[in-house]
Amino acid sequence: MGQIEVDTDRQLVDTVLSGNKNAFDMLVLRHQHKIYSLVSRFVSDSAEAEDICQEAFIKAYRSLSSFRGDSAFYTWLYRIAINTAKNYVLSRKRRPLASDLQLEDAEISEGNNALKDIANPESNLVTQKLKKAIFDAIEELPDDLRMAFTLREFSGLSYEDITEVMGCPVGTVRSRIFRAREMIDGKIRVLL
Amino acid sequence: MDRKTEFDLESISALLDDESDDMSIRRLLKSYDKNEEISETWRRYNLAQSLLHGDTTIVKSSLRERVREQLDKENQLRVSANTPWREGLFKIGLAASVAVICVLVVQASFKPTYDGLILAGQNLIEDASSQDDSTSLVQAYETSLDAKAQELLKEYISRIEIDREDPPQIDHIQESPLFRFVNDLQSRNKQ
Repeated sequence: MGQIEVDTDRQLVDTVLSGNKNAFDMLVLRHQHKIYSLVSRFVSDSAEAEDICQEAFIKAYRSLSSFRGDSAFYTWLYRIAINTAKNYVLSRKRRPLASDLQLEDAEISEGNNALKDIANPESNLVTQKLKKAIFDAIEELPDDLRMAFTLREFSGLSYEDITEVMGCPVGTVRSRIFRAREMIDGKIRVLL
Repeated sequence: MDRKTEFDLESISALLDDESDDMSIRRLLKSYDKNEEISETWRRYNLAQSLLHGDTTIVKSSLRERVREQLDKENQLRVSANTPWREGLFKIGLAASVAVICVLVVQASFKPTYDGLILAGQNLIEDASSQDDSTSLVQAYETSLDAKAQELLKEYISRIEIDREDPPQIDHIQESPLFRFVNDLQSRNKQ
């Protein structure tokens, strides 16, 4: 999603490097759930997973000046998180609970919910509830908002591309997507 | 919702889609600490997007606070390590080293040049004074100069524009050995 040359992550990284720590806060908020999901494949305890995530983000901040932009920022952060998780597991000599999952398997498995199901059934329930609320909210959107939103989120079209599909100015596309998000946000806010 | 907040939230939505610009990011970050709704909306928008696109485990909001706290702590430690007297001592040492190096370089590079120039100048003056024509010194200079180089130099000088309100400093030029040598030659020539 987004081109490497002009993407939000790159802009935020540049802003952090110019001295603005709030920009890093935005990067954390943007990627924390994905990184947490990734790290959860290595350790089953939620507190340990959070510790590893924290360490991964701190390492990323410290070495941010070495990020050259050859790859996407998330890819670079992903590698740091994996290395941090691996080092943690090796130093503690632990294995994931109720599973013979090897480190390599944890790294490459996609959508492996085995650990999470065992360790965090409650959080999984919350996640499922939120997902349902989001999809229900999308169904209830007015047609023009739903179309703009789905073209963006599921087809990955840029605003410029969406203007061609929908035959409206880019400002209208931007506004429709925003209003769609606001309506969805209104539905999930009560659940958070 | 007031218009400014709505405008900010719309910018956040565009930022999520990589459709924002530097100015919008700067504007959002300016209000970031004052308006909590910006960071909270950004957090929820990203959560919703993560949930839409795959299996995501929701992390506690305390992670972000913990990261911030640790970064603040590290920055404070870095600031307190650089006490003023250390910084001052470092700067004085650096300035002294640079000054010594400059003096040595200047002495090494200009002294033989200056001495050589004086000797060459003296030879020329002696040659010139041994001749009858008072313009022989000028002629001696002219015959050794490249006409093309002179032309290029004149053209370059004619293109120079001097800001009368902020003219270039020339004190260091007047103190240079070459400038003093030329002065010496002129004063001897007048005599």
